[in-house]
Amino acid sequence: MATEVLVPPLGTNVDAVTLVTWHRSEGDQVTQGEPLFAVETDKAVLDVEAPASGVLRGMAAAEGDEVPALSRIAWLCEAGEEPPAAGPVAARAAAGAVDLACVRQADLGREALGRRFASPWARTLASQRGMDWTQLRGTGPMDAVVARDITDAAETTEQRPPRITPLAARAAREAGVDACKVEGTGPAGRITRDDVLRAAAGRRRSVSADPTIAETIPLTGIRGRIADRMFRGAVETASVTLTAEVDATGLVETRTRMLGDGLKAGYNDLLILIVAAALRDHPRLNATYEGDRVVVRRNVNVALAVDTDRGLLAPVIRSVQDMSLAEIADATSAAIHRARTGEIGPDELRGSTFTITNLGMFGIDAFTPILNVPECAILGVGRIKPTPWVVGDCIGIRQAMWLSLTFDHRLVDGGPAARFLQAICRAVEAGL
Amino acid sequence: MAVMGIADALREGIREEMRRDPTVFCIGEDIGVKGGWGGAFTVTLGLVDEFGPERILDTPISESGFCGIAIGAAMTGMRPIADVQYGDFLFCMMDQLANQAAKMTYMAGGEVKVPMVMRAPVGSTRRGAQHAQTLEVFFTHVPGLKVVAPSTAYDAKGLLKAAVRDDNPVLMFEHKLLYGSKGNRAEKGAISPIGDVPDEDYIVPIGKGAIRRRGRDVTIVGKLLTVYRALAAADELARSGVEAEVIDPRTLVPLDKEMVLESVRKTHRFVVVEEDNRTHGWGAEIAAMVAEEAFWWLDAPPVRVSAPDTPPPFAPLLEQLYVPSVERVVSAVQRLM
Repeated sequence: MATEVLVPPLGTNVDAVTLVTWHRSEGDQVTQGEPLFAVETDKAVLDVEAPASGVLRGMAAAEGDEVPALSRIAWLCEAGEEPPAAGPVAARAAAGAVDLACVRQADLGREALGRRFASPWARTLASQRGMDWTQLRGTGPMDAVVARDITDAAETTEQRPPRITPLAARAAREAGVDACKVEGTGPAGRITRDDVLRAAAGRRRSVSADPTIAETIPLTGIRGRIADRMFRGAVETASVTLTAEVDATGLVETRTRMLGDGLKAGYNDLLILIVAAALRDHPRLNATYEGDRVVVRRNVNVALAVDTDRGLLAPVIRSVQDMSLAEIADATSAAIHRARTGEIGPDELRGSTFTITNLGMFGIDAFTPILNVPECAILGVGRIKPTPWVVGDCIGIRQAMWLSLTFDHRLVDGGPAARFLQAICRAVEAGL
Repeated sequence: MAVMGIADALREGIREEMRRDPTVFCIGEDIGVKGGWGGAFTVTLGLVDEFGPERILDTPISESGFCGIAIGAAMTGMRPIADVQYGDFLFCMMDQLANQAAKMTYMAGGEVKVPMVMRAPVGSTRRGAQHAQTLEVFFTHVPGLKVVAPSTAYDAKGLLKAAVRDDNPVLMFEHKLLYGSKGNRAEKGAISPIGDVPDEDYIVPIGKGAIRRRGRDVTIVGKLLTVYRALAAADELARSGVEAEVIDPRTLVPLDKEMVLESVRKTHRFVVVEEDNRTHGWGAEIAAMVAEEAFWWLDAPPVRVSAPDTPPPFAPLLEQLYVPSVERVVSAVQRLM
């Protein structure tokens, strides 16, 4: 009997996703659990596994298509079986009771945790065989690698890396192309540099036939999501920006001292710590707008705007009110790395209560950030530069910095917002 | 060889030990009274006709009192078999058992022995919060007590005889649904673990478990009633190709750890099924032991199927939810596969 291949529902906020790649072609024999296609949500690119074994037939979506969640995009048929005539998606799927085995829900959790699991017995077997279990696909609970995965892999011994020329391997690394997914056309099926470059080019957006148009970028996926959220932040809120120039000499000294002590904390980490402390005294700024009410949040989950190749991402550092500076520094550097490499999962990009955006490294002094809806406020951080400053009765050189606080006046008034910014300024001046 | 249930097997065991050894006697409430039931669940029924009221000793309703008498008698050379009507009343004699009986030999440097048996019916059987608790774990936690929990007629007689001959205080827990009692003392929903019981003298050694079913995919440990739940679940699982090994430790203290560990090292998965409340429970101890001593053989987390952390409910429907069902055991195993 043919099995439907459905687009998984990937979160409450996602009605449709972009089909990025088919890993298999029409007529291919597919094994249950292997990655069948990749979709791009507004937050990440995710592989979706084949829900059953069979022959891939009746593919109804092309790469680049927007596909609604729970829509059927292909069938997995038995050998010789024709895909059933078009009909409604089976009732159980429509009811939302889609067989989530095919959706790597556990994967989302696993990615959020940033680690993979293997059962103790699987580890024991792997070490007995000298195998690297981290390269295996887990089929146990939580997608953990369990004993059968080790024994299956040992049987198939298909653990060999793809045959690829050294030049192509380097090109693949540089282009961020997964060599396993590149078809080799070189001698004995080796993957060549050209194969890699073709694969890399294939990922880029299509170029228009109109010579006056350099490039057309559809507002889907991450770009579409950014467009939507920025528009809502600009239009649907009552945003006001407060700016203050602050003497950050204390902050600079604190950071220098910490680096000397071996604590690799950046200004963003220090500011997250300062913001968390200030929000404790001004909890109304740690709030979200929920249609007919303002919800003040207990946990301070700071989103940090990160500029990546794929666009603006804001990984969320959770419960920073309970974290030490060292923990914050570890968490931000890991999150930024994962955002830049595209490993970050959707769970790591939601649930923020406050956002920090720092353009200081680009030499920007001050700017008016757009609110990260539905949050109450966002802090824009400018560059730190030596500036003439009145110190007592003299003019001295101090390390000055502009801070810009944009807040939603629907949620909070100017006075409390100003006092909050003042508290941040005082902490920056004091160097924490 | 005779075919009988647990209540009859216990009675035969008591009879044989009393015939064999004149220091053995029974003590309890309503165990020999004329026209009575022979204890709450017929175990001592008729023994008074053979041994007389001097050796089938009825006491007033005072659990602390007759427990103290039994301990004192044991310390001075007798081998009492005491009988509490419902295990729940053991709490009345907690000082006697946990402070006196359990520690006497230790404090006397081995000079004093307390060779007594305390028999106690347990299990949730539509009798509510004060007559249906599962109590074993309160006593498995006290050093100096041995604890046995037979789930078959053969084991009941063999363990009783071993307990009488043991020089330590032994608590024997009997599940009310497993007595196989007849007539108006049979509990509703009772299952009858009737089996062959040899006529000749035999004992079941204290500290030896039994493998009730062989399997390669998961080890399920149960005791008393939950042995039968585990066996039924194993039958159900076998239909989908999962072969469960079911272990009945029979003795809770000392525990046959090696039997459990050896099984887990073979199956790589572990589920313990208990009628005890979950938190700080018996299953927690077994699961912890497996996690500590067989960790590198585990292919899935050790799992407990327990009663919730509430008193046993009186309402029959709630009770069905309280006592681990076959379905709960099956689903716990399936989650590990």
